[in-house]
Amino acid sequence: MTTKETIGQLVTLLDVGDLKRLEPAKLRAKSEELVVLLQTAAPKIGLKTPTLEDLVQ
Amino acid sequence: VIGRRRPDRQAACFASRRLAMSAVALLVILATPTTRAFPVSGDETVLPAGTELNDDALDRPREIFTSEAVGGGKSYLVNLGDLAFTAPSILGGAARQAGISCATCHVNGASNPKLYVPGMSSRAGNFDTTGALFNPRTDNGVLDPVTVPSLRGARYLAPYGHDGRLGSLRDFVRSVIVNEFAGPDPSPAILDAMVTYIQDIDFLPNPKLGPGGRLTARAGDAEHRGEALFARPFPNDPTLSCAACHVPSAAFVDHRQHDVGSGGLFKTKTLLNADFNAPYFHDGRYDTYEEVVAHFDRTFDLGLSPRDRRDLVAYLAAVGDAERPYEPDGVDAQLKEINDVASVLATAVPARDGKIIALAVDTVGRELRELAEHFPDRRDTAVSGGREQRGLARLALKELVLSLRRIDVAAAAGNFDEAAAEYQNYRSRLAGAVRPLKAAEPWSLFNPAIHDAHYAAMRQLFQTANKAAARSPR
Repeated sequence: MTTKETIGQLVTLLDVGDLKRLEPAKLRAKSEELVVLLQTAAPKIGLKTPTLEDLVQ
Repeated sequence: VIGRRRPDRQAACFASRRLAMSAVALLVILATPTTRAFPVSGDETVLPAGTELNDDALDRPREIFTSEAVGGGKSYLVNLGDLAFTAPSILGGAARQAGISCATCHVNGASNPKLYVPGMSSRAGNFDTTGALFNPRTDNGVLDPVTVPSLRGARYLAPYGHDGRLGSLRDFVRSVIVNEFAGPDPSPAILDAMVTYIQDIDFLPNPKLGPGGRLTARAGDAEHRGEALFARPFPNDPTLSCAACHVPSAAFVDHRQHDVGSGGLFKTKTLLNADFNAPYFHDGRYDTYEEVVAHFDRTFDLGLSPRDRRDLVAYLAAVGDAERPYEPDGVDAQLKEINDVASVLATAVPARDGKIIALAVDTVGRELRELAEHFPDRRDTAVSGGREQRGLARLALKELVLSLRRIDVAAAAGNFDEAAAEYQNYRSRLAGAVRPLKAAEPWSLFNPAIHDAHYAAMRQLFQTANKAAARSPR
């Protein structure tokens, strides 16, 4: 699964128009997947792996 | 985020960082479960406004397991069953959407006397299992709620269901998942595990009861007099007595259904640990033993004197008692539960069982996020102090969530060696998280003062929001 595909899936999951129709479990899983993908990709393009601590500060 | 800021990489770094921050922001937003807020107040979830799940309780029913009580440990199957019991994804429809699992109603395998769903409950502690909300296909068109039974000692308590309609616990668990909560048909492995888990939940010990369900010397005079009355034949039908159905030597049940004037045939309920199972009767119509005894006195014309009634109530209270029925919720209790259910990964990863891995990652991740919400973030103005500690605790837990997700991502890609390595990383991170979590505990919602301040502020927030919504034109 590529980052672009994951973002596309996230967009689809969010495109519901009504909060009650959101699928929270799928959305959480997919958003976590995206973060994991970015953390995995970062060193491959010469970046330091981002951590939550870094990003929140 | 940015290691070496080289000009040709800055744009890429910035884009990457923005993306990562967006993802993390999304994670932070999503980290607040929709059902966490008590009581659910507004139309932001699939549950009706005013729903009370009691998930902010400071104390939780104590849960003991037969396998541990005999000096052993919980098996893989017990932990897998516990995991499934805690997983909203086992259920379907509105329950799954709202994040409700079996454990929402059967808290630590016991009951949930505060559970209340408007339109589905007639009072706190009961719930209509044939209503429209969770499975419209089983909606029978009437409000006929039943209490949430405790599952302690369930292996001794067949048949199952208030009316005792199913003799098999396995059939009953499947029926609850598929029919009552519109879930997908569970796999045989999951059903086996859930039954194994439920069968391992034991009654809490009661020092007032000895062999054969007889009172011990620890019981008082009134309780002993009540015991005699309990076994005394009914005046109008000497074949009947309380003890004839609630057989003391058989966990106080007879495995049969009876009409006791409550509107039909219902199975005999156990009296063990029943002090903590109110409200009583299948529909929860009575709050107290006094009311229960009065019902039987009236229905069966027992002719009890006021003292007889008091003695019977004392006896019921003695039989229904337990050692330490509740325990305070806290970091230790939460981590033990999380550790136990996450341990299924130690078997599922080497077994290359992708479905169980995904179930564990989703469910344990959810538990970790809920635990993170016990440490109010810096925006919570109701809580002062321990800001740094709270922040570190939240971050440690969110890193654990990501660590778990890496296991699932690796397993989904068929990289089970990598998944095994990630599981070891998760274990190490979990061990490392204990210290920041314990350090932040005094400023967490496990502290009653913090808990009360936090929820008072939330209540006020909801009231303000509801007033604003009521004023705004639709």
